[in-house]
Amino acid sequence: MKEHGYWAVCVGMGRKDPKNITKPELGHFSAQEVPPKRYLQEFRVRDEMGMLSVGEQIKASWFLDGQFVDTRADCKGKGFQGVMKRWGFGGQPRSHGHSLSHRSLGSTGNGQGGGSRVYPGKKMPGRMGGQRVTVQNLKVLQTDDEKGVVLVNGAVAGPKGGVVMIQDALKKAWPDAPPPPKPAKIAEEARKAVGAKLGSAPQEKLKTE
Amino acid sequence: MAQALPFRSATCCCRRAVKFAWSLPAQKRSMLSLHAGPVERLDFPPQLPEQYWSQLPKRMRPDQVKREIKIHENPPSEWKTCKEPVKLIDQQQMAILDPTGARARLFDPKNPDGAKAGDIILATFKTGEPFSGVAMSIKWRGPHTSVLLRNQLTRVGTEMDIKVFSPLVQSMEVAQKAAKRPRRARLYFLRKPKHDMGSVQKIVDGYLRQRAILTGGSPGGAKRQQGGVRGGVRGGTRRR
Repeated sequence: MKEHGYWAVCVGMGRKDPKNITKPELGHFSAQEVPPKRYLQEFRVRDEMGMLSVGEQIKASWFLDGQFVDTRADCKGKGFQGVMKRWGFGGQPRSHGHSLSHRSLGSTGNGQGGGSRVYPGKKMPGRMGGQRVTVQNLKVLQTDDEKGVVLVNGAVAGPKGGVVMIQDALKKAWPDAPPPPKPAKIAEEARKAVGAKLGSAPQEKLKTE
Repeated sequence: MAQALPFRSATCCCRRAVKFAWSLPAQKRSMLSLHAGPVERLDFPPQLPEQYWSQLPKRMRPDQVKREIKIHENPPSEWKTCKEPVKLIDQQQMAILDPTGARARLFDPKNPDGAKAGDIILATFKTGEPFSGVAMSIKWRGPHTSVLLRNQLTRVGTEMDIKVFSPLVQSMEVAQKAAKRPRRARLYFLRKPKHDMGSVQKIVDGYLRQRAILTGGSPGGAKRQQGGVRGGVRGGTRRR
């Protein structure tokens, strides 16, 4: 925390031929006593308690059946796409005089009122897909350690054989979450914290309240 | 410039000074003097006292041991044990959803007696509710195989897409096979009034009557079946 300002676990996946890795990277892997990995990704963790020891293996059974996970992966690339596919524009009618503009975007904005320009970020044709997509709150149905399978309910971004980051869902309770503390306990703890900052005298005042 | 300038106003008159410099004969230098050759590498003096070590680069210090880069072995890969996890999960699910394999055989595209587009199928759900109709399309997707049934309930066209291996589906039977094999796999033209089959209820009722005769509701029905039916449609039991 002092060094980088946050806690994270760097997880490696896959295997890489040593001849394809630079010497500094090889040295780093060897110093950590870890085999060279193809994919490396940091997983943010709340605090020191969430850290794992270096070299620890994370198997499929890390995730419990019935817990919720977030999945992050690069979605399929669609190439250069027009405005109708990329942004869902309606296009123009096929007949009634419309010439050569059935799938075009039509107007690009106001005239002089918009500043005699096209606003930055105007939805236009361009490269679609291939970016990171997060699908949240997917339920884990089944895990198999031997086969290395995590079965998840719903769709995950990306093609078959794509690399996916799976993490405990942010918007759901932690799988082994302890029960929330009672209101009286919270108030007591808050009082203690305030007392530590201000000094001993104010603490007495709070008690009488 | 080493030589003194002969002019009186030397400081302000640069142009004249430059002109003067160029007028001097060029000093001849030999080409060999420009390239001194590679620098001769000298070894450190042997047994250099320790107080001088801090002056050396870290990598050249005598106490520095060359770091050995050891490449660790990868643990056994799970991917190698299971290269097609989706197929594996599908097989597991089929074992749960259809343990006998009867439903799968009924909806096997290679089975000549199986359900095909154009057949009239009767599906009964776990709640006991039946739904029957013409199979307009059968999508073969492993455990997600589905059949689209069309019927007319009180003159209202109704379609239902039933997942064949769903646990909610208690039974599926073919009430009537299509007389002639349709010329396409998706019979969406049946939605048009010209080709609409109308209500399928009569055909299904006829099939249920036949089935009742063959299997029988009473315990005596089994005996009847053994003796009575000749050249029989024993397929009545098979269809179940």
